[in-house]
Amino acid sequence: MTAAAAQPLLIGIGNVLRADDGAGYRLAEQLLEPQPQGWEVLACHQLTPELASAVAQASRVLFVDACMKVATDGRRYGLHPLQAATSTSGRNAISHGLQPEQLLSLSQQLYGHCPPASLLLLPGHCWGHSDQLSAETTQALAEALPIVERWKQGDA
Amino acid sequence: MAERRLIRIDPVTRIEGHAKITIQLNAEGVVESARFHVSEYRGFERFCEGRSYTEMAAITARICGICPVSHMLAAASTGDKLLAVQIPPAAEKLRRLMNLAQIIQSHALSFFHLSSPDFLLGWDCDPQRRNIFGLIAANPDLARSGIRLRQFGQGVIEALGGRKIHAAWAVPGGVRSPLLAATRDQIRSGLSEAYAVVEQGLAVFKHLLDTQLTEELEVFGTFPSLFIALVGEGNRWEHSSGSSCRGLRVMNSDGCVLADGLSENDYGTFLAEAVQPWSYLKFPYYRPLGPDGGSYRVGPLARLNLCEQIGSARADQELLELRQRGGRVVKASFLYHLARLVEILASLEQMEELLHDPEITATHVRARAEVNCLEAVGVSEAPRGTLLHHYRVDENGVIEKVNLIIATGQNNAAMNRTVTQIARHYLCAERLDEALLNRVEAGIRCFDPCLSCSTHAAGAMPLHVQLLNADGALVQELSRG
Repeated sequence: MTAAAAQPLLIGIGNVLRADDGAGYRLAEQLLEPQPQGWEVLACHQLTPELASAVAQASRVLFVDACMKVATDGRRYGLHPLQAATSTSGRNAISHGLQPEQLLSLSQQLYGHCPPASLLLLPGHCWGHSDQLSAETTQALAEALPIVERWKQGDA
Repeated sequence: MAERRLIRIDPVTRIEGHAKITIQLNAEGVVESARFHVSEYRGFERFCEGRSYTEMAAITARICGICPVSHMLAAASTGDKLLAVQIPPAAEKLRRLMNLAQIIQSHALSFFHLSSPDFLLGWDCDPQRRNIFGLIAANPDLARSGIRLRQFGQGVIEALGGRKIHAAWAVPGGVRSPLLAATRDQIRSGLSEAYAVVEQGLAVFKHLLDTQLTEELEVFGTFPSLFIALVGEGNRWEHSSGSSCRGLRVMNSDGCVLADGLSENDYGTFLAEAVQPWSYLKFPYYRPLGPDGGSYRVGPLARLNLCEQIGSARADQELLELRQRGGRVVKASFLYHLARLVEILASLEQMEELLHDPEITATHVRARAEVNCLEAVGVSEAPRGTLLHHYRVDENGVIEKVNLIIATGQNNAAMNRTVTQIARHYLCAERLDEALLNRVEAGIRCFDPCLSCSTHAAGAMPLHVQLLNADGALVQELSRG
């Protein structure tokens, strides 16, 4: 891994069969067409330990996920800086679905590198069985694209 | 006098799906019995009815996030028979390639993520650290290797099918897309690291077997039973149906072959299923020997017991060592873990061979036809063992009946016997702690069960309900089935 080869990485997270939960995944899908140049984009159902190598090779990472009006940890919509978790063990240690902070910690532990990272939270309204986003979240996704573009350019 | 006591391990952790274990102590505080209860119910067999056979690969793949490739391949194989076509040679090779990738990623998950924390961190390690993250903290080099090996297998699945999970790629008649030369070369480039990882895992685990895990070899499900798996030409190790497959073989623990060349089409003549009121998981058995004598094991250990050779140099050397350790027919269920590592090595070698076959990039990968048969049975070796899909359709290809015989279900009797053996060896009323109970759980993990895959039958489900009062006394009891 060389610093010169490192590129920004966006990871969109979500379950596209659970309506607005899939917002992060849908945003990543939009960015994958046409093929991204100068950065890497991944659309993921959930965060797994295998992603740690991609994170470790990135210059910066932006996680994109949907959340309710106020997320369970108190965060609201918008862009938030992230720090690596202090521990990946304990009761919340589930390799099927890591939190972004845990993935950053794994990147540090396994590959000795944890790049600067942020989390972009998109507002979700509907969480039932559906492969469609709500109108509000569709609108929010469109409004998020300039934020992502600024982040990609290093301005956010 | 002491009272009878029931111990519950609920949930069983580091397995795929939901289950509990109950251990009954008698009035003297001695283990009387132990049961592995599967407490989730899926029902895919019923709700596939009314769907088109063309959808079955995609629908049944959704049974599980770990085993979707296995169901997709079994469904596609069943679909080939409904069409009555022979699939193009390249399609058969590509399906084999994907099944090898599935074996690699699933076995890597089982060994490195789910089971090795027990061996490497210790049975009595704090349960909150006894997981892949604890392993990462204690041995980041080995953990990283295991994660990357699984990533390699998943990467091959994604390269072939477009997605790591639930790829809609194998279809009745073949596969949807050929392998590009550039993708073939990309897969090849990952082989050397994957070999290094499995060699590392083999060295670590064999050292542990020689130094620290000797008692486990005796106690963790060591008993005679039958074994069933597919075998290939020359009784080689086999994992897929197709031109090189000779059918199913049945062997007992003395190495006596009870049946050979059995066709999946006739499975109803040699397999039967028993039910118990305390589990959603059925108890298949080898019909000629009945429910008691006919219990059998499937999966990596069965495949390695049943084959005469694997057919590739490094894996055959490891097979020889496995047999030196456990006998010509290995009875110790704890050696399922070693068998998984041997199968990863075998899969890498066979994958390399396939990737050097010029036909692997041929572009004719799908035969097309309409429904020509109204009933068919497909078979595949899933990582956990033999998987059968049986469909009956109408003349329009609409599914009328589905029966799925899943690997984990076929190991059900052996898993129950294993937890009983471990519980009787380690536990009594005066000797109960978390580390000992973890050994009982670990007996189940030898089989790497996937319970999400295993509980589908509807209509014949036995049920046993007990109503207890606040003192635990039985008030009312109802049974069905």
